[in-house]
Amino acid sequence: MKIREIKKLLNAKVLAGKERLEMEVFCGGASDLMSDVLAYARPKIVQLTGLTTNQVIYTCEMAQIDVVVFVRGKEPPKEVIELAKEKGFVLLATKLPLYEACGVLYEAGLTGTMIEPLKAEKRKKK
Amino acid sequence: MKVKEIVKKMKLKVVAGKDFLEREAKGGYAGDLLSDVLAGSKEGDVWLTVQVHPNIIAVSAMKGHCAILITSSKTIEEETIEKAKEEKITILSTPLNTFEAAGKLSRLLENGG
Amino acid sequence: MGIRKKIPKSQELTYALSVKDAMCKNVVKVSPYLSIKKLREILKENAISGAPVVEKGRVIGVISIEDLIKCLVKGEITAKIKDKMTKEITVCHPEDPLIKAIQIFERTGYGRLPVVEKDNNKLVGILTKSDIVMCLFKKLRSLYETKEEKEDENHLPLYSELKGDFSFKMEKPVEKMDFKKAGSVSSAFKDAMEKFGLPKDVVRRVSISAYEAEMNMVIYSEGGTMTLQIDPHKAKIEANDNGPGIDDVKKALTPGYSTAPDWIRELGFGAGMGLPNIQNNSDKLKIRTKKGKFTRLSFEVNLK
Repeated sequence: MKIREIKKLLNAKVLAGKERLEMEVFCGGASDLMSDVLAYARPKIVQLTGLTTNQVIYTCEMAQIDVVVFVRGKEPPKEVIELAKEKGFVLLATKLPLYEACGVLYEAGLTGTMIEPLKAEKRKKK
Repeated sequence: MKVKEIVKKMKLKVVAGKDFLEREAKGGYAGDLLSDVLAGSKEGDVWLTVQVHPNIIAVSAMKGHCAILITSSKTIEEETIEKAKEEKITILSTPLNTFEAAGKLSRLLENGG
Repeated sequence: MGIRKKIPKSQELTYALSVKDAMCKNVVKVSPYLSIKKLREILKENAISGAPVVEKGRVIGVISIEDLIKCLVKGEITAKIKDKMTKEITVCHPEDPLIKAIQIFERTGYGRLPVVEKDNNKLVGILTKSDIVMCLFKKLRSLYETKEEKEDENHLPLYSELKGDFSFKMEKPVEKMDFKKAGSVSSAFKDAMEKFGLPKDVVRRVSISAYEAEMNMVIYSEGGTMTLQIDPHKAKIEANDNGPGIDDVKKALTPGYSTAPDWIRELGFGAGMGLPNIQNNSDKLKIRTKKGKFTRLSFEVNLK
Protein backbone atom coordinates (compact mmCIF):
# COMPACT_ATOMS: atom_id res chain seq x y z
CA MET A 1 0.00 0.00 0.00
CA LYS A 2 1.30 3.44 -0.88
CA ILE A 3 1.84 5.97 1.88
CA ARG A 4 -0.36 8.34 -0.09
CA GLU A 5 -3.28 5.91 0.35
CA ILE A 6 -2.61 5.58 4.06
CA LYS A 7 -2.63 9.36 4.36
CA LYS A 8 -5.97 9.47 2.60
CA LEU A 9 -7.56 6.60 4.53
CA LEU A 10 -6.55 8.03 7.90
CA ASN A 11 -7.19 11.61 6.86
CA ALA A 12 -3.68 12.24 8.10
CA LYS A 13 -1.40 15.23 8.07
CA VAL A 14 2.14 14.86 6.72
CA LEU A 15 4.70 16.07 9.26
CA ALA A 16 7.81 14.91 7.41
CA GLY A 17 8.80 13.20 4.18
CA LYS A 18 6.29 14.83 1.81
CA GLU A 19 8.37 13.71 -1.16
CA ARG A 20 8.15 10.02 -0.31
CA LEU A 21 4.40 9.47 -0.40
CA GLU A 22 4.66 7.12 -3.38
CA MET A 23 6.67 4.64 -1.35
CA GLU A 24 5.10 1.25 -0.62
CA VAL A 25 4.75 -0.35 2.77
CA PHE A 26 3.95 -4.02 3.10
CA CYS A 27 2.38 -4.37 6.49
CA GLY A 28 1.41 -2.54 9.62
CA GLY A 29 2.51 -2.54 13.22
CA ALA A 30 0.77 -0.91 16.15
CA SER A 31 2.27 -0.31 19.56
CA ASP A 32 3.01 2.33 22.14
CA LEU A 33 5.74 0.22 23.66
CA MET A 34 9.07 0.71 22.04
CA SER A 35 10.60 -2.55 23.22
CA ASP A 36 7.68 -4.25 21.55
CA VAL A 37 8.50 -2.48 18.32
CA LEU A 38 12.07 -3.70 18.60
CA ALA A 39 11.01 -7.25 19.26
CA TYR A 40 8.34 -7.62 16.61
CA ALA A 41 8.79 -5.07 13.90
CA ARG A 42 10.06 -5.71 10.41
CA PRO A 43 11.52 -3.34 7.86
CA LYS A 44 9.12 -1.83 5.30
CA ILE A 45 6.24 -1.58 7.70
CA VAL A 46 4.21 1.39 8.76
CA GLN A 47 4.38 1.84 12.51
CA LEU A 48 1.34 3.27 14.27
CA THR A 49 1.92 4.65 17.74
CA GLY A 50 0.64 7.09 20.31
CA LEU A 51 4.08 7.76 21.72
CA THR A 52 5.60 11.00 20.47
CA THR A 53 9.08 11.20 21.96
CA ASN A 54 12.54 11.06 20.41
CA GLN A 55 12.58 7.41 21.41
CA VAL A 56 10.06 6.56 18.69
CA ILE A 57 12.48 7.82 16.05
CA TYR A 58 15.49 6.08 17.55
CA THR A 59 13.58 2.85 18.07
CA CYS A 60 12.25 2.79 14.54
CA GLU A 61 15.66 3.67 13.17
CA MET A 62 17.11 0.64 14.91
CA ALA A 63 14.32 -1.56 13.63
CA GLN A 64 14.78 -0.14 10.10
CA ILE A 65 11.31 1.33 10.02
CA ASP A 66 10.99 4.77 8.51
CA VAL A 67 7.27 5.35 8.21
CA VAL A 68 5.48 6.33 11.41
CA VAL A 69 1.87 7.36 11.96
CA PHE A 70 1.06 9.15 15.20
CA VAL A 71 -2.47 8.40 16.36
CA ARG A 72 -5.01 9.83 18.84
CA GLY A 73 -4.49 13.35 17.50
CA LYS A 74 -1.04 13.51 19.04
CA GLU A 75 1.71 15.42 17.34
CA PRO A 76 5.32 15.15 18.40
CA PRO A 77 7.28 18.23 19.46
CA LYS A 78 9.31 20.11 16.84
CA GLU A 79 12.63 18.59 17.86
CA VAL A 80 11.27 15.09 17.26
CA ILE A 81 10.09 16.09 13.78
CA GLU A 82 13.49 17.63 13.09
CA LEU A 83 15.27 14.46 14.19
CA ALA A 84 12.97 12.42 11.96
CA LYS A 85 13.62 14.69 8.97
CA GLU A 86 17.36 14.37 9.54
CA LYS A 87 17.00 10.62 9.36
CA GLY A 88 14.77 10.67 6.29
CA PHE A 89 11.55 9.48 7.95
CA VAL A 90 8.00 9.85 6.74
CA LEU A 91 5.80 11.05 9.61
CA LEU A 92 2.02 11.24 9.50
CA ALA A 93 -0.43 12.31 12.19
CA THR A 94 -4.07 11.28 12.42
CA LYS A 95 -6.88 12.16 14.78
CA LEU A 96 -8.09 8.56 14.80
CA PRO A 97 -7.40 6.38 17.83
CA LEU A 98 -5.09 3.41 17.31
CA TYR A 99 -7.90 0.84 17.19
CA GLU A 100 -9.84 2.69 14.50
CA ALA A 101 -6.71 3.43 12.47
CA CYS A 102 -5.76 -0.25 12.46
CA GLY A 103 -9.32 -1.15 11.50
CA VAL A 104 -9.37 1.22 8.53
CA LEU A 105 -6.00 0.08 7.19
CA TYR A 106 -6.79 -3.58 7.77
CA GLU A 107 -10.09 -3.19 5.94
CA ALA A 108 -8.17 -1.62 3.04
CA GLY A 109 -5.97 -4.68 2.79
CA LEU A 110 -2.92 -3.99 4.91
CA THR A 111 -1.89 -6.95 7.07
CA GLY A 112 -0.05 -7.14 10.34
CA THR A 113 3.58 -8.09 10.77
CA MET A 114 4.53 -11.64 11.53
CA ILE A 115 3.99 -12.43 15.15
CA GLU A 116 7.19 -14.29 15.86
CA PRO A 117 9.78 -12.07 17.46
CA LEU A 118 13.06 -11.76 15.63
CA LYS A 119 14.67 -14.89 16.80
CA ALA A 120 17.41 -16.70 15.04
CA GLU A 121 16.48 -20.20 15.96
CA LYS A 122 18.58 -21.64 13.20
CA ARG A 123 21.55 -19.81 14.59
CA LYS A 124 20.96 -21.22 18.02
CA LYS A 125 20.72 -24.78 16.79
CA LYS A 126 24.11 -24.55 15.17
CA MET B 1 -21.71 -8.74 20.20
CA LYS B 2 -21.00 -10.84 23.24
CA VAL B 3 -17.43 -11.45 24.37
CA LYS B 4 -17.92 -15.19 24.03
CA GLU B 5 -18.75 -14.81 20.34
CA ILE B 6 -15.58 -12.81 19.81
CA VAL B 7 -13.62 -15.51 21.63
CA LYS B 8 -15.07 -18.11 19.33
CA LYS B 9 -14.72 -16.20 16.06
CA MET B 10 -11.21 -14.92 16.72
CA LYS B 11 -10.09 -18.17 18.36
CA LEU B 12 -8.93 -16.40 21.49
CA LYS B 13 -7.54 -18.00 24.59
CA VAL B 14 -9.36 -17.16 27.82
CA VAL B 15 -6.69 -16.55 30.44
CA ALA B 16 -8.91 -15.27 33.24
CA GLY B 17 -12.57 -14.46 33.88
CA LYS B 18 -14.27 -17.39 32.11
CA ASP B 19 -17.48 -16.55 33.95
CA PHE B 20 -17.94 -13.12 32.45
CA LEU B 21 -18.07 -13.91 28.75
CA GLU B 22 -21.71 -12.88 28.47
CA ARG B 23 -20.68 -9.22 28.65
CA GLU B 24 -21.50 -7.12 25.62
CA ALA B 25 -18.58 -5.70 23.61
CA LYS B 26 -19.48 -2.20 22.45
CA GLY B 27 -16.25 -1.31 20.75
CA GLY B 28 -12.50 -1.58 20.86
CA TYR B 29 -9.56 0.39 22.13
CA ALA B 30 -5.91 -0.32 21.37
CA GLY B 31 -3.10 1.18 23.37
CA ASP B 32 -0.25 0.52 25.75
CA LEU B 33 0.05 3.85 27.53
CA LEU B 34 -2.07 3.64 30.64
CA SER B 35 -2.75 7.37 30.75
CA ASP B 36 -4.03 7.27 27.17
CA VAL B 37 -6.23 4.29 27.96
CA LEU B 38 -7.65 6.11 30.96
CA ALA B 39 -8.32 9.16 28.84
CA GLY B 40 -9.54 7.60 25.64
CA SER B 41 -11.17 4.22 26.13
CA LYS B 42 -14.88 3.74 26.81
CA GLU B 43 -17.02 1.52 28.93
CA GLY B 44 -17.72 -1.78 27.22
CA ASP B 45 -14.59 -1.63 25.03
CA VAL B 46 -12.34 -4.60 24.41
CA TRP B 47 -8.92 -3.24 25.36
CA LEU B 48 -6.09 -4.50 23.14
CA THR B 49 -2.62 -4.17 24.62
CA VAL B 50 0.79 -5.76 25.01
CA GLN B 51 1.08 -4.51 28.58
CA VAL B 52 0.93 -7.40 31.02
CA HIS B 53 1.83 -5.99 34.41
CA PRO B 54 -0.77 -5.93 37.22
CA ASN B 55 -1.64 -2.24 36.81
CA ILE B 56 -3.65 -2.97 33.68
CA ILE B 57 -6.32 -4.60 35.86
CA ALA B 58 -6.90 -1.45 37.90
CA VAL B 59 -7.14 0.63 34.73
CA SER B 60 -9.55 -1.80 33.10
CA ALA B 61 -11.74 -2.04 36.19
CA MET B 62 -11.88 1.73 36.46
CA LYS B 63 -12.96 2.16 32.84
CA GLY B 64 -15.36 -0.80 32.85
CA HIS B 65 -13.97 -2.59 29.79
CA CYS B 66 -15.73 -5.79 28.84
CA ALA B 67 -12.39 -7.61 28.43
CA ILE B 68 -8.66 -7.13 28.03
CA LEU B 69 -7.15 -8.74 24.94
CA ILE B 70 -3.41 -9.34 25.24
CA THR B 71 -1.84 -9.45 21.78
CA SER B 72 1.32 -11.04 20.37
CA SER B 73 0.93 -13.94 22.84
CA LYS B 74 2.60 -11.93 25.57
CA THR B 75 3.29 -13.98 28.69
CA ILE B 76 1.03 -12.60 31.38
CA GLU B 77 2.39 -12.12 34.88
CA GLU B 78 0.90 -14.41 37.54
CA GLU B 79 0.07 -11.43 39.70
CA THR B 80 -1.89 -9.86 36.86
CA ILE B 81 -4.02 -12.99 36.50
CA GLU B 82 -4.63 -13.10 40.26
CA LYS B 83 -5.73 -9.47 40.29
CA ALA B 84 -8.01 -10.08 37.31
CA LYS B 85 -9.79 -12.81 39.21
CA GLU B 86 -10.24 -10.53 42.22
CA GLU B 87 -11.60 -7.70 40.09
CA LYS B 88 -13.75 -9.97 37.89
CA ILE B 89 -11.91 -8.92 34.74
CA THR B 90 -11.71 -11.13 31.67
CA ILE B 91 -8.28 -11.52 30.12
CA LEU B 92 -8.06 -12.93 26.61
CA SER B 93 -4.97 -13.68 24.56
CA THR B 94 -4.12 -13.97 20.86
CA PRO B 95 -0.96 -14.64 18.88
CA LEU B 96 -1.98 -11.85 16.48
CA ASN B 97 -0.23 -8.54 16.93
CA THR B 98 -2.18 -5.44 17.88
CA PHE B 99 -2.51 -4.22 14.29
CA GLU B 100 -4.02 -7.44 13.01
CA ALA B 101 -6.11 -8.12 16.10
CA ALA B 102 -7.58 -4.61 15.98
CA GLY B 103 -8.28 -5.02 12.27
CA LYS B 104 -10.06 -8.33 12.77
CA LEU B 105 -12.01 -7.20 15.81
CA SER B 106 -13.22 -4.03 14.17
CA ARG B 107 -14.37 -5.97 11.13
CA LEU B 108 -16.15 -8.41 13.42
CA LEU B 109 -17.89 -5.75 15.49
CA GLU B 110 -18.92 -3.72 12.49
CA ASN B 111 -20.03 -6.40 10.07
CA GLY B 112 -20.47 -9.38 12.33
CA GLY B 113 -17.54 -11.11 10.63
CA MET C 1 33.73 -9.33 -8.87
CA GLY C 2 31.24 -6.55 -9.33
CA ILE C 3 32.58 -5.69 -12.75
CA ARG C 4 32.65 -9.24 -13.96
CA LYS C 5 29.01 -9.48 -13.08
CA LYS C 6 28.03 -6.41 -14.99
CA ILE C 7 29.57 -7.14 -18.37
CA PRO C 8 27.03 -9.79 -19.34
CA LYS C 9 24.29 -7.42 -18.22
CA SER C 10 25.57 -4.64 -20.47
CA GLN C 11 25.86 -7.11 -23.34
CA GLU C 12 22.32 -8.19 -22.76
CA LEU C 13 21.29 -4.55 -22.87
CA THR C 14 22.91 -4.03 -26.26
CA TYR C 15 20.30 -6.43 -27.61
CA ALA C 16 17.41 -5.00 -25.64
CA LEU C 17 18.11 -1.34 -26.36
CA SER C 18 17.74 0.14 -29.82
CA VAL C 19 19.63 2.78 -31.70
CA LYS C 20 16.95 5.39 -31.06
CA ASP C 21 17.54 5.04 -27.28
CA ALA C 22 21.15 6.05 -27.66
CA MET C 23 21.33 8.33 -30.72
CA CYS C 24 21.72 12.05 -30.59
CA LYS C 25 18.76 13.77 -32.25
CA ASN C 26 20.30 17.17 -32.69
CA VAL C 27 22.42 16.42 -35.68
CA VAL C 28 24.82 18.93 -37.18
CA LYS C 29 24.49 18.24 -40.88
CA VAL C 30 26.11 19.92 -43.84
CA SER C 31 25.07 20.66 -47.37
CA PRO C 32 27.11 19.08 -50.19
CA TYR C 33 27.60 22.50 -51.77
CA LEU C 34 29.51 24.05 -48.90
CA SER C 35 33.24 24.56 -49.17
CA ILE C 36 35.82 22.68 -47.12
CA LYS C 37 36.73 25.99 -45.55
CA LYS C 38 33.18 26.43 -44.31
CA LEU C 39 33.17 22.81 -43.08
CA ARG C 40 36.22 23.56 -40.97
CA GLU C 41 34.33 26.39 -39.24
CA ILE C 42 31.27 24.25 -38.63
CA LEU C 43 33.27 21.38 -37.16
CA LYS C 44 35.21 23.77 -34.97
CA GLU C 45 32.11 25.63 -33.80
CA ASN C 46 30.27 22.46 -32.82
CA ALA C 47 33.34 20.64 -31.52
CA ILE C 48 32.61 17.63 -33.67
CA SER C 49 34.86 15.53 -35.87
CA GLY C 50 32.54 14.87 -38.77
CA ALA C 51 29.04 15.31 -40.10
CA PRO C 52 26.57 13.64 -42.45
CA VAL C 53 26.06 15.35 -45.77
CA VAL C 54 22.39 15.89 -46.45
CA GLU C 55 20.55 16.93 -49.56
CA LYS C 56 16.76 17.36 -49.46
CA GLY C 57 16.60 15.60 -46.10
CA ARG C 58 18.37 12.52 -47.35
CA VAL C 59 21.85 11.43 -46.44
CA ILE C 60 24.12 11.26 -49.45
CA GLY C 61 27.50 10.96 -47.74
CA VAL C 62 29.66 11.58 -44.71
CA ILE C 63 32.49 14.04 -44.30
CA SER C 64 35.01 13.84 -41.48
CA ILE C 65 37.90 15.77 -40.05
CA GLU C 66 40.28 13.39 -41.81
CA ASP C 67 38.84 14.42 -45.18
CA LEU C 68 39.31 18.01 -44.09
CA ILE C 69 42.96 17.46 -43.15
CA LYS C 70 43.66 15.78 -46.51
CA CYS C 71 42.24 18.84 -48.28
CA LEU C 72 44.26 21.19 -46.10
CA VAL C 73 47.43 19.29 -46.93
CA LYS C 74 46.64 19.45 -50.63
CA GLY C 75 45.58 23.08 -50.47
CA GLU C 76 42.07 22.28 -51.66
CA ILE C 77 40.34 24.40 -49.11
CA THR C 78 37.85 25.85 -51.57
CA ALA C 79 36.71 22.45 -52.87
CA LYS C 80 33.07 21.50 -52.36
CA ILE C 81 32.11 18.94 -49.76
CA LYS C 82 30.33 16.80 -52.36
CA ASP C 83 33.60 16.13 -54.13
CA LYS C 84 35.52 15.13 -51.04
CA MET C 85 32.97 13.26 -48.96
CA THR C 86 32.74 9.51 -48.53
CA LYS C 87 29.86 8.40 -50.67
CA GLU C 88 29.72 4.77 -49.76
CA ILE C 89 28.10 5.34 -46.46
CA THR C 90 27.00 2.91 -43.83
CA VAL C 91 23.92 3.88 -41.90
CA CYS C 92 21.79 2.34 -39.21
CA HIS C 93 18.07 2.58 -38.48
CA PRO C 94 16.35 3.81 -35.31
CA GLU C 95 14.82 0.37 -34.65
CA ASP C 96 18.10 -1.52 -34.99
CA PRO C 97 19.35 -3.11 -31.79
CA LEU C 98 22.41 -1.38 -30.39
CA ILE C 99 24.47 -4.49 -30.94
CA LYS C 100 24.11 -4.03 -34.72
CA ALA C 101 25.59 -0.54 -34.51
CA ILE C 102 28.40 -1.82 -32.30
CA GLN C 103 29.21 -4.48 -34.89
CA ILE C 104 29.31 -1.85 -37.64
CA PHE C 105 31.66 0.31 -35.58
CA GLU C 106 33.92 -2.67 -34.97
CA ARG C 107 33.92 -3.76 -38.61
CA THR C 108 34.42 -0.39 -40.24
CA GLY C 109 36.32 1.61 -37.67
CA TYR C 110 33.97 4.57 -38.27
CA GLY C 111 33.52 7.11 -35.53
CA ARG C 112 29.88 7.91 -36.24
CA LEU C 113 26.88 6.48 -37.96
CA PRO C 114 24.02 8.50 -39.43
CA VAL C 115 20.67 7.16 -38.30
CA VAL C 116 18.13 7.18 -41.11
CA GLU C 117 14.57 6.02 -41.44
CA LYS C 118 14.31 2.67 -43.14
CA ASP C 119 11.92 3.45 -45.99
CA ASN C 120 12.86 7.00 -47.01
CA ASN C 121 16.48 7.39 -45.92
CA LYS C 122 15.58 10.53 -43.98
CA LEU C 123 18.15 11.58 -41.40
CA VAL C 124 16.79 11.39 -37.84
CA GLY C 125 19.91 11.29 -35.72
CA ILE C 126 23.53 10.40 -35.34
CA LEU C 127 25.19 7.74 -33.25
CA THR C 128 28.73 7.74 -31.89
CA LYS C 129 30.51 5.20 -29.73
CA SER C 130 30.34 7.53 -26.79
CA ASP C 131 26.55 7.83 -27.22
CA ILE C 132 26.37 4.06 -26.81
CA VAL C 133 28.56 4.08 -23.75
CA MET C 134 26.50 6.85 -22.16
CA CYS C 135 23.24 5.09 -22.92
CA LEU C 136 24.42 1.81 -21.41
CA PHE C 137 25.77 3.60 -18.42
CA LYS C 138 22.50 5.40 -17.77
CA LYS C 139 20.48 2.23 -18.22
CA LEU C 140 22.72 0.22 -15.92
CA ARG C 141 22.58 2.91 -13.31
CA SER C 142 18.81 3.08 -13.35
CA LEU C 143 18.58 -0.73 -13.25
CA TYR C 144 20.98 -0.78 -10.35
CA GLU C 145 19.02 1.86 -8.50
CA THR C 146 15.66 0.14 -8.97
CA LYS C 147 17.21 -3.14 -7.99
CA GLU C 148 18.62 -1.58 -4.89
CA GLU C 149 15.28 -0.08 -3.99
CA LYS C 150 13.37 -3.28 -4.69
CA GLU C 151 15.46 -5.83 -2.95
CA ASP C 152 16.91 -3.57 -0.35
CA GLU C 153 19.97 -5.76 -0.60
CA ASN C 154 22.95 -4.39 1.14
CA HIS C 155 26.20 -4.83 -0.67
CA LEU C 156 29.41 -4.96 1.21
CA PRO C 157 31.55 -2.36 -0.43
CA LEU C 158 33.87 -1.75 2.43
CA TYR C 159 33.73 -4.53 4.93
CA SER C 160 34.07 -7.34 2.42
CA GLU C 161 37.33 -5.88 1.22
CA LEU C 162 38.85 -5.79 4.66
CA LYS C 163 41.18 -8.57 5.52
CA GLY C 164 43.38 -9.88 8.26
CA ASP C 165 43.37 -8.59 11.78
CA PHE C 166 41.47 -5.40 11.10
CA SER C 167 39.58 -4.02 14.06
CA PHE C 168 37.50 -0.90 14.61
CA LYS C 169 36.49 0.54 17.96
CA MET C 170 34.18 3.35 18.97
CA GLU C 171 33.38 4.39 22.52
CA LYS C 172 30.58 6.70 23.71
CA PRO C 173 29.35 7.87 27.10
CA VAL C 174 25.77 7.22 28.22
CA GLU C 175 24.19 9.63 30.70
CA LYS C 176 21.82 8.55 33.39
CA MET C 177 18.20 9.70 32.90
CA ASP C 178 19.00 11.74 29.81
CA PHE C 179 15.92 10.85 27.78
CA LYS C 180 16.54 13.47 25.11
CA LYS C 181 19.78 11.85 24.06
CA ALA C 182 18.87 8.27 24.86
CA GLY C 183 19.23 6.33 21.64
CA SER C 184 21.83 8.59 20.07
CA VAL C 185 24.72 6.26 20.94
CA SER C 186 23.04 3.31 19.27
CA SER C 187 22.22 5.56 16.35
CA ALA C 188 25.90 6.47 15.98
CA PHE C 189 26.87 2.80 16.19
CA LYS C 190 24.33 1.96 13.53
CA ASP C 191 25.76 4.65 11.26
CA ALA C 192 29.26 3.30 11.72
CA MET C 193 28.17 -0.25 10.96
CA GLU C 194 26.34 0.91 7.85
CA LYS C 195 29.40 2.82 6.69
CA PHE C 196 31.43 -0.33 7.05
CA GLY C 197 28.87 -2.05 4.89
CA LEU C 198 28.01 -4.78 7.39
CA PRO C 199 25.11 -6.98 6.25
CA LYS C 200 21.74 -5.39 6.96
CA ASP C 201 20.65 -8.22 9.20
CA VAL C 202 23.73 -7.82 11.37
CA VAL C 203 23.32 -4.04 11.56
CA ARG C 204 19.75 -4.53 12.62
CA ARG C 205 20.43 -7.11 15.29
CA VAL C 206 23.36 -5.25 16.78
CA SER C 207 21.64 -1.88 16.78
CA ILE C 208 18.43 -3.21 18.32
CA SER C 209 20.45 -4.85 21.09
CA ALA C 210 22.59 -1.76 21.54
CA TYR C 211 19.49 0.36 21.87
CA GLU C 212 17.97 -1.90 24.51
CA ALA C 213 21.24 -1.80 26.43
CA GLU C 214 21.44 1.96 26.10
CA MET C 215 17.87 2.43 27.36
CA ASN C 216 18.56 0.11 30.28
CA MET C 217 21.58 2.17 31.14
CA VAL C 218 19.68 5.46 30.89
CA ILE C 219 16.72 4.22 32.93
CA TYR C 220 18.25 2.01 35.58
CA SER C 221 21.95 2.77 35.95
CA GLU C 222 24.21 5.52 37.13
CA GLY C 223 25.42 5.95 33.55
CA GLY C 224 28.53 4.57 31.89
CA THR C 225 30.02 3.93 28.48
CA MET C 226 29.22 1.84 25.46
CA THR C 227 31.72 0.48 22.96
CA LEU C 228 31.24 -0.87 19.48
CA GLN C 229 33.91 -3.14 18.08
CA ILE C 230 33.97 -4.51 14.56
CA ASP C 231 36.48 -7.11 13.50
CA PRO C 232 36.52 -9.58 10.61
CA HIS C 233 34.40 -12.14 12.46
CA LYS C 234 31.97 -10.24 14.61
CA ALA C 235 30.40 -7.02 15.72
CA LYS C 236 30.57 -6.65 19.48
CA ILE C 237 28.98 -4.24 21.93
CA GLU C 238 30.11 -3.64 25.48
CA ALA C 239 27.94 -1.70 27.87
CA ASN C 240 29.61 -0.87 31.16
CA ASP C 241 27.77 1.07 33.81
CA ASN C 242 28.63 2.31 37.27
CA GLY C 243 25.95 0.46 39.18
CA PRO C 244 23.72 -0.31 40.95
CA GLY C 245 23.97 -3.82 39.47
CA ILE C 246 21.21 -6.32 38.64
CA ASP C 247 19.65 -8.18 41.57
CA ASP C 248 18.69 -11.34 39.78
CA VAL C 249 20.16 -11.84 36.32
CA LYS C 250 18.11 -14.95 35.62
CA LYS C 251 14.88 -13.09 36.35
CA ALA C 252 16.02 -10.11 34.28
CA LEU C 253 16.39 -12.46 31.32
CA THR C 254 12.78 -13.64 31.62
CA PRO C 255 10.54 -12.01 28.99
CA GLY C 256 8.07 -9.68 30.66
CA TYR C 257 9.96 -9.37 33.93
CA SER C 258 10.42 -5.71 34.76
CA THR C 259 11.11 -3.55 37.76
CA ALA C 260 10.12 -0.39 35.91
CA PRO C 261 7.99 2.18 37.71
CA ASP C 262 4.83 3.40 35.98
CA TRP C 263 6.34 6.60 34.67
CA ILE C 264 8.89 4.58 32.72
CA ARG C 265 6.12 2.45 31.30
CA GLU C 266 4.35 5.60 30.21
CA LEU C 267 7.46 6.46 28.22
CA GLY C 268 6.91 3.27 26.32
CA PHE C 269 9.60 1.30 28.10
CA GLY C 270 9.83 -1.15 30.91
CA ALA C 271 7.90 -3.94 29.23
CA GLY C 272 10.50 -6.38 30.42
CA MET C 273 11.79 -7.17 26.97
CA GLY C 274 15.21 -5.54 27.11
CA LEU C 275 17.59 -8.33 28.02
CA PRO C 276 15.47 -11.05 26.42
CA ASN C 277 15.49 -9.01 23.24
CA ILE C 278 19.28 -8.67 23.38
CA GLN C 279 19.54 -12.40 23.95
CA ASN C 280 17.36 -13.12 20.94
CA ASN C 281 19.36 -10.88 18.69
CA SER C 282 22.89 -11.85 19.63
CA ASP C 283 25.00 -14.93 19.14
CA LYS C 284 26.82 -14.55 22.42
CA LEU C 285 25.80 -12.68 25.55
CA LYS C 286 27.73 -12.14 28.77
CA ILE C 287 26.54 -10.36 31.89
CA ARG C 288 28.75 -9.66 34.88
CA THR C 289 27.24 -7.64 37.66
CA LYS C 290 28.20 -6.64 41.18
CA LYS C 291 25.61 -5.25 43.53
CA GLY C 292 26.14 -1.56 44.20
CA LYS C 293 29.13 -1.44 41.85
CA PHE C 294 28.63 -2.19 38.16
CA THR C 295 27.08 -4.18 35.37
CA ARG C 296 29.17 -5.24 32.41
CA LEU C 297 27.11 -6.44 29.52
CA SER C 298 28.70 -7.64 26.31
CA PHE C 299 27.17 -9.27 23.28
CA GLU C 300 28.30 -10.27 19.83
CA VAL C 301 26.80 -10.94 16.44
CA ASN C 302 28.79 -13.18 14.15
CA LEU C 303 29.60 -11.93 10.69
CA LYS C 304 29.94 -15.24 8.91
